[in-house]
Amino acid sequence: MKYFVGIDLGTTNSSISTFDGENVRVCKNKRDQSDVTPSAIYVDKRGKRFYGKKAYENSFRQPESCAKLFKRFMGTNTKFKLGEDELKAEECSAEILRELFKNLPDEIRENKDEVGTVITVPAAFNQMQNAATLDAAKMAGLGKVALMQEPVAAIMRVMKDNQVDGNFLVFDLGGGTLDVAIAERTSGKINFLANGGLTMCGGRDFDKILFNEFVVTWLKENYSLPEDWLTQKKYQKLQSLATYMAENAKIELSTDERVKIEGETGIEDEDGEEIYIDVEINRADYNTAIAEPVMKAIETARVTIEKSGLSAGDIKKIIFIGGSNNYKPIREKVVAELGISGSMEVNPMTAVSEGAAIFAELVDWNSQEHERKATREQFKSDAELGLSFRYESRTPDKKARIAVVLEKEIIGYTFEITSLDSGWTSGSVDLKNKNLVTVPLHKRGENKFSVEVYDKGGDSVFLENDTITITQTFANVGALLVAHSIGVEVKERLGSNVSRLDYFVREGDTLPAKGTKKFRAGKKVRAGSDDSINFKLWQGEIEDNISDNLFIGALKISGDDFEFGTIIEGAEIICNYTIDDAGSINLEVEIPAVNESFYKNFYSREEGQVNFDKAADKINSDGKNLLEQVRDIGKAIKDDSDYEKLQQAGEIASTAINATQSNSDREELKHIEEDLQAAKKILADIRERNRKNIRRENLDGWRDYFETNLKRFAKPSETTQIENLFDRAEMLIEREDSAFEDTISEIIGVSYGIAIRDNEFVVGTFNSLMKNPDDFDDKATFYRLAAAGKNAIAQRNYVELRKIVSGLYSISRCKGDELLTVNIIKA
Amino acid sequence: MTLTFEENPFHVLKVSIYDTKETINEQTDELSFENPDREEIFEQARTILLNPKKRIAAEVWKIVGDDIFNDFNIYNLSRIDEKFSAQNPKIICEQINSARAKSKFPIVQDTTAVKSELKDIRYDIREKIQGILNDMTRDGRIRLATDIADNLNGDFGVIVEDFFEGYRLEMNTLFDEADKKIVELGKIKFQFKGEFSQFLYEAEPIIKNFCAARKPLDKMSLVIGTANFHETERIFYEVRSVAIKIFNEKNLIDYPLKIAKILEENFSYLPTLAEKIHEDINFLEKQNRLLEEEKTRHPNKKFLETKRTLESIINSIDNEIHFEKGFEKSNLKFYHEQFRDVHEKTLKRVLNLKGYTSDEQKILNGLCAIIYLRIAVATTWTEYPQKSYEFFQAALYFAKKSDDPELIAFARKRLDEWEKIIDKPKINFTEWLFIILTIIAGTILFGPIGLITGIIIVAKILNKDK
Repeated sequence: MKYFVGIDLGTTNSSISTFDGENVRVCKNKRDQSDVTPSAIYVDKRGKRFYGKKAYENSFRQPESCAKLFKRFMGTNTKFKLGEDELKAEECSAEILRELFKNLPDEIRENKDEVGTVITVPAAFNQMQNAATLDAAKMAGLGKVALMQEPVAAIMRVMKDNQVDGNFLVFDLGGGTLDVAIAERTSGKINFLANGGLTMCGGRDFDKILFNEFVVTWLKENYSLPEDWLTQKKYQKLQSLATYMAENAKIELSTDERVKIEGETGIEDEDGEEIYIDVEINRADYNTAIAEPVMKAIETARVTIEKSGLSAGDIKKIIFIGGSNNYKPIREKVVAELGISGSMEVNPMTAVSEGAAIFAELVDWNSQEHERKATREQFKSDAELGLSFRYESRTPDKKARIAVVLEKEIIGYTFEITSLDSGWTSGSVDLKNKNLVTVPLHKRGENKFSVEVYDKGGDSVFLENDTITITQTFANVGALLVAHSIGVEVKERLGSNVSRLDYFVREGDTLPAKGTKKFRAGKKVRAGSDDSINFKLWQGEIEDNISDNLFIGALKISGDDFEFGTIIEGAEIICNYTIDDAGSINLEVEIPAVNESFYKNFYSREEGQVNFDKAADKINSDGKNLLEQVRDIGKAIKDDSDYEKLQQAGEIASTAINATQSNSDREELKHIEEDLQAAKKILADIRERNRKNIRRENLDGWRDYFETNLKRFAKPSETTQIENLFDRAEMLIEREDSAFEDTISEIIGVSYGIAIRDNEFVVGTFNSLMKNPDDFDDKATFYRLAAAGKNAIAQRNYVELRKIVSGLYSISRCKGDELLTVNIIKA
Repeated sequence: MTLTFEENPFHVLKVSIYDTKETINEQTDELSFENPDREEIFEQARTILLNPKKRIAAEVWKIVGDDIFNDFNIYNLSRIDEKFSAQNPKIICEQINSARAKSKFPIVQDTTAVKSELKDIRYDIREKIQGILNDMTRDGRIRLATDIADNLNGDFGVIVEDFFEGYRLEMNTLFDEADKKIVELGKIKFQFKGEFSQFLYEAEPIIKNFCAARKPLDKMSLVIGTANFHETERIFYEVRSVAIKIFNEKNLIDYPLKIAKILEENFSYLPTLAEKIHEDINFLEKQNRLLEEEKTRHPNKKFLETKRTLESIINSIDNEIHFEKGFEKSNLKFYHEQFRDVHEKTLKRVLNLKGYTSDEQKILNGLCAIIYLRIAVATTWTEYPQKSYEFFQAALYFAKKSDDPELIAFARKRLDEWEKIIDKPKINFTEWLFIILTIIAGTILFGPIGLITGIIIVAKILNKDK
């Protein structure tokens, strides 16, 4: 591979750089000669598409003909209207990538087969977002492409100029995302210790705050505008123009203490008065307005430090990257809060693409998985002599070692190594197994050496291979880190209702990763039958409430997938997985019982993706679930700090419940979804800390319920059984695994069997199900059963009502794929 | 992070938990240089050991895992269980921090990561147990599980529970097959006697194997109080339903009782089932007694008919036979035309009918004995003493089957008397010639052995005549 290219595909701006092994070059936009290209597409009336600055500027005048901020919706089903066309985020990204590629020098573009391109993605990107980015690269026809986490690329760039050992924190606050990475440099070797980030935190969010807090408030006070003017088509242009002005004002605030947003809009208000914007903003007010997201970003950095196992005192400095860090008060705040000195030693707008280009040189582009090049190699020099040389092929040091490897003993022979670049020579060295020569490296990039071997008589011996190439790198990179835990849902034991996550990789594990997991089948599947063994994959750290994690896909092995045999309950399932440097997972499942291996694409791209133009219902329902969890946990916690966090989660839940499609734009809904996800994690942490109390509360609750409501309906044998189960649960309260929850699940099963005999209970259950229509995706069936249920109640037909309740449970929403019930057991 | 004993970076890099970053780096470089094929593994190990957070996994493994896995003996599961249960995250944390003070790594602040690693070690133990169970024979597994279950005292940890989970998964094939076969056997229609025997013959070993394998799991369930016996109960009720079907549909008690006894032998370890089995057996035995009593009070119709038939034969003999001189011809005529051609055939037919109780059978045999005594006496008035002798023999045979001591004594007495009266059967000339020639030929051909054989044959013939 001759050319190495790095692309930072940003939310608001993108950039492209090249690396030749020694020098990094940022490729300027050919149209306006700027280092970055705005990630925007504009289509004119004739259908011609424009990209970059022109598209960005037009987006405010003709928002309906523009697509931007699509990176925020990668891996979702949200569509962008571009004139007559509707494009998915990855299609928009593909066009930007194509446009960026045009900025490369001709000799690179014309030799596409000789180009290896690394595209960066935020560390916080999930599996679906990564897959969508790769799809975009494929659509753009970029050739050989690998993904890399943005903070890794940023560190590569930083380390190119910074040759000092120590721990560094990279704080990359871009247009749409925040990435934090902590790395350690020891003698030219870079080790990543932790990374973290937020996918909805960046300059775009600060712009929105400025717009909402100052401009919208001012407009409301000074003009006659309807309540929902922001969602009315009539005022779309006003909104765009005002946003544009706000963005410019934000840039000015970097240098000026006080700025003015002013200008004509050409739009009339409800009273027919032309709107002229004239708002004054001072830096202090702006700082106050953005304090919340800034603190959120700082908290993310704090959590990342904690994940690394270091304390702030162990970190040498914060390196600021990303356009939003151009605003000094943000940098100052971060430095003050974390207590670590800061530095702006690289260009914050292009550092990521530059680092990506440097990283591209580390990739072995001939390998299938685009692994990193080996740092030590061995080559056979001469078969007859049985002579090989083992050497350090890539090192950041100024010297490298070359060792002799001999298959048989040779007496009286010598060898000499000569630098083909500088003429340095090792002198005559005995040709003995394991003899070492340390060679100097005179330049960065490739250093070539020739080997001469002399026999007993001092005559030169012909060697089949006599040249050794050693590359002096800027730095050698240790293993990269997994940004998110990825696990498969498993049952702890046969017949258990409780699932847990069995992780392929945990957050912070090293990449690339590969391994084997063994499971057992929890269901019998005959060849040709409709039954199936089902796997569900989740991304996230929440172990107790699996569905609170991000569902990333399912794998189903049905009876149709194999021709002979039966997979019995308990049959062995061997799962081989690989996870590449970008965190994308591949899975192969082997089932010896039917002598078959299954290579299936398990990503549930379509099912798992949300269309944020239609997501309000789902968000409302998630909000309700979250609020229920908050209430349940609230009963058991004692700690004040937990109570505070719980309150925050409750507020997020309320926002989610009240979100509507008409009052919130897609970005706001995405924000709410991200907040929900974060709140679920907070709840999981609170649950973990208060597990004992929560379990106690839960157990006491069930005991009371049984004593008060069910005991009178229970048969003596059922009473004995349930009391035994209560005793068992009591014993398990302190245990770390899910045995307590399993026992509670059994208690619920027995209790339900008793309660269902009571007509009042059946009516109550039906009524409670009726209160939550959002829990049912199949609305037609829901309303049919609802009508039938009401009728059954009117006619006091409780037998029928029992059937209806059971029918309603069977169609209630189950996150992921409701048709798939996981039936694999941890081996 | 999931590690295994062999993958522990400390083992991979051959460094201790007290070694510093510098030593780890040097050792990684050294090993990678010596063994470039494993460079990736060495690098991964280095990355883990140099990362203060990830290193915790390796440290916990070194402190806890080594102790457990170095001396892993499944036959001493309770010890592994005890060792694992005794682990205290706080103490492990202190041990790690004491080592970190020497290796100059930042100290571990709380026990969260340690707890998480302990969980992973538990799953590795579980996987190891599963592997061992997988390699064992079925009987070996059952023996081991039975031994562990028999020694359960309620004071055990998760490792023992995991063992039984692993055991259950390994034995599932057996459970599944047993379930399938029992369901299949339950479909037998039980129309022929052979089908009852077939069921018992095939079902009993399946039940025996199933219960032997199942018992440890059920005992475990009993000890922990979950009372999860669904699978055992399913087989139990499947077999029991067969017994109920036979009882209800075929009006039989002995087969259901046999099935109940098999259930008693195998399923009584479960108190709930033992109670049920006990009730079933009591019920069936009571039914059996009632039936016997009922039969005594109300003999069955078939028996009565047979009895009447036999009695009518006795009447017929009594009416037609005259025990005085001058009636030889008419007696003989009765024997030929009535008794031999009609009565004796009727007697054999009715006696071979099924459905008599054993007591009824005895009564009928008694009547047959009387019939043969009568006809034997009747034929003494003919010129066929040999016939009479045969009839007395038949009378004794039936008398014995009637279990009636008086009748037996009487028939025997008459046979003995008649034996004295009748002439001994003689061997004619041809027969003597055959015997002598056989002995001579035997002696010529086989010498003394032939002679002895000949004598034995003669003795047999003479004895047969008697």
